[in-house]
Amino acid sequence: MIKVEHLVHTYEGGNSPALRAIDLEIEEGEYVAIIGPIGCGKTTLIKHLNALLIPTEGNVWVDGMNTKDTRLAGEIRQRVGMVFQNPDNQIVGMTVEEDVAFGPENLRLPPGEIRRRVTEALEAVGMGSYAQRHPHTLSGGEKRLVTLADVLAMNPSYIALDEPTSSLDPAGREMVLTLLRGLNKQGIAMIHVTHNMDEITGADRIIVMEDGRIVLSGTPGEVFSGV
Amino acid sequence: MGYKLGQYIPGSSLVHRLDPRVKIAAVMLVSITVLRADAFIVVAVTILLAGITFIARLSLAHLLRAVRPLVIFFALIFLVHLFFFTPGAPSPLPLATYEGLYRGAILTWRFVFLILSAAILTMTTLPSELISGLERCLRPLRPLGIPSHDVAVMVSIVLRFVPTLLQELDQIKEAQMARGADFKAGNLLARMKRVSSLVIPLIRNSILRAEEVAMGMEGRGYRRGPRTYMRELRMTPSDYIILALLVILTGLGVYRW
Amino acid sequence: MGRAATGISTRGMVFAAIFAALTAVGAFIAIPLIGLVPISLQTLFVHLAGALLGSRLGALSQFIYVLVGVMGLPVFAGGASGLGVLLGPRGGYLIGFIIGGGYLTGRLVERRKKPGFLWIAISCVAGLVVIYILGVLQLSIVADLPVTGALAVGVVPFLIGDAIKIIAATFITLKLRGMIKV
Ligand SMILES: Nc1ncnc2c1ncn2[C@@H]1O[C@H](COP(=O)(O)OP(=O)(O)OP(=O)(O)O)[C@@H](O)[C@H]1O
Ligand SMILES: [Mg+2]
Repeated sequence: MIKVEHLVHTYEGGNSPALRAIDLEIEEGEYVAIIGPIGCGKTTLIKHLNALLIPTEGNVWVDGMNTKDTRLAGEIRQRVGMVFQNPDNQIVGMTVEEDVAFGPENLRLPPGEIRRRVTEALEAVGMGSYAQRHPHTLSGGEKRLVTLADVLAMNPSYIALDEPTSSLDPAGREMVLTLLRGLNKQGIAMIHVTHNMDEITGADRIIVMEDGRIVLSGTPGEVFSGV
Repeated sequence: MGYKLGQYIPGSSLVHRLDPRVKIAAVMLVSITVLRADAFIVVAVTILLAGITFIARLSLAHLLRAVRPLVIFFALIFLVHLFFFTPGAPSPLPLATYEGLYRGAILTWRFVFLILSAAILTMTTLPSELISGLERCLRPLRPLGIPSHDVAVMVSIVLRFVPTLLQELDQIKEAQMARGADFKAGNLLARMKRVSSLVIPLIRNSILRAEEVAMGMEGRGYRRGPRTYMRELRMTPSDYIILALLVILTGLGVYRW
Repeated sequence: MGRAATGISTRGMVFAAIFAALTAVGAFIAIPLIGLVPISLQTLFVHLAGALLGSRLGALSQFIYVLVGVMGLPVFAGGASGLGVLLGPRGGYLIGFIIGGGYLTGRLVERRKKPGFLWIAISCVAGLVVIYILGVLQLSIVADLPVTGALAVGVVPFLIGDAIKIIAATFITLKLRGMIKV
């Protein structure tokens, strides 16, 4: 379980807090959608879920581990995978398979295990035949799938995704959404940030943010009737 | 986009299959040997190079392509020696001498050879194998403060992003030409301005990119220091034999100095 | 900009790597100069590495750049690569990129809290002088040329281009330095 407790975040040099007292719990296997207007703090919030940002006030616990404890950062980042908005800047490997291997290599797994995970992760997103491709030769959608494989190879319990369908065409969008639902069925919790209402009708829970606060939280039925 | 990542030419020859560490060592050792080459070493090493080229199934055209960027420079050096080498008393007239021809030829050949031996290495080794080999070769330097793991990661980021930055440069250029910028006309100042209008967005984007890349790497559990690798390097008996041969040959070559 | 001699952060590593990549890209961009050979933008990025990143990361970025080229990737001027370039007549310039362009320029820029146009330009010139000293030395030794000959071949033809690039590098540094927090 991820537990966010009275989380406040003020950026260095920012004059007002980007997050003001967030309380949130995310269960294992849950599909949580986060929506809200531009600049309301969605990206900031999910960066807290895998210790990329540390709370200014309050606490974030991932399976009982406090993100403020820097010794636990490695373990936390293995459990909570992060897919950022721009896939181009998440791909650091010279080839697709080397990129997917980057995470497991950071976990210091043995070579055979890394190879196995890379193959599995690429198969899971349908990119098995792209293993040797150079990233700059991939389309935007293909890059997006590679970043999903990157995260899957870490064997996470939770995946946080920042607008994972932005800049995809309707077919690509549908494909990514189907993939996310499939992974969620296999037990991985999804925390899905989006601007697009009709992407999240299937979520277990929708969280609506505004100006650094959670203003509404509930099942899609509850939230949409409240809007 | 004509940029190719390295000059790798796929193949399965003995040279292709050699451990990258052995190949890196080979280039280093041979480069040392030719630093003070005489005619004997020139012939010996040329034969060696020809043999390797043949075994690796590379063609002369491949080799020539590697030398081409430096041809003019080499020619210049050769000519300088040919005409200006003056044994004994300085001669007022620039005349070609046999001595000059000999020295110029050996010197130029040495440079060509250095380029060629490195080119054969990269033509027969995948960039990612090269990085693995490099990382292993740098490990002994870790006590000196050269962290081989981090160096390997940085090299890999460079190779990953050079093509992307070139693409981005093209996009910026196209966008500006669409707005009517002409990159070939105008006085010096105008050209400088236009180059800045190309370079500044490129750097600005690169800085933002670097921030995101770093964030993404940490999000995937990257921290400085040792990590494991998917690619394993294993020395086979033929790797050891070739390494031993190389060391002996280098020893003989250096002994002749 | 001064940094304690602690370890380099991931962010610092990535900045160094990206500037190494930019230096490689610079070798591909040429501006046509009136009546002269086109000048490549490579050293523009060498100056920027030192002036924007400071001594440690600037030198690191140039070290990585040279390493990538030595490994055989075609990132040196004219698309050349390999150990041969480093040991060859032009190798001194590459060492100069690390020591002069990266380290010295960065070091000088770091000496002032908020260096102005003149100071940044002077820092770049100082770095360039080191690049040329090392370049000319190696050129004259390796190619067996007298120093005057090496100067004629390896320095004089590039001076106008260098002046332009240093002015540009200084402007760009002033414009973009606020963006970099390493
Ligand atoms: N590095 C930073 N430094 C200072 N302020 C920042 C930084 N990153 C974000 N902010 C500010 O924090 C607030 C929340 O930003 P955040 O990126 O979390 O919003 P968001 O909900 O993800 O918006 P969007 O829908 O546009 O992606 C914004 O006002 C933004 O300007
Ligand atoms: Mg956002």
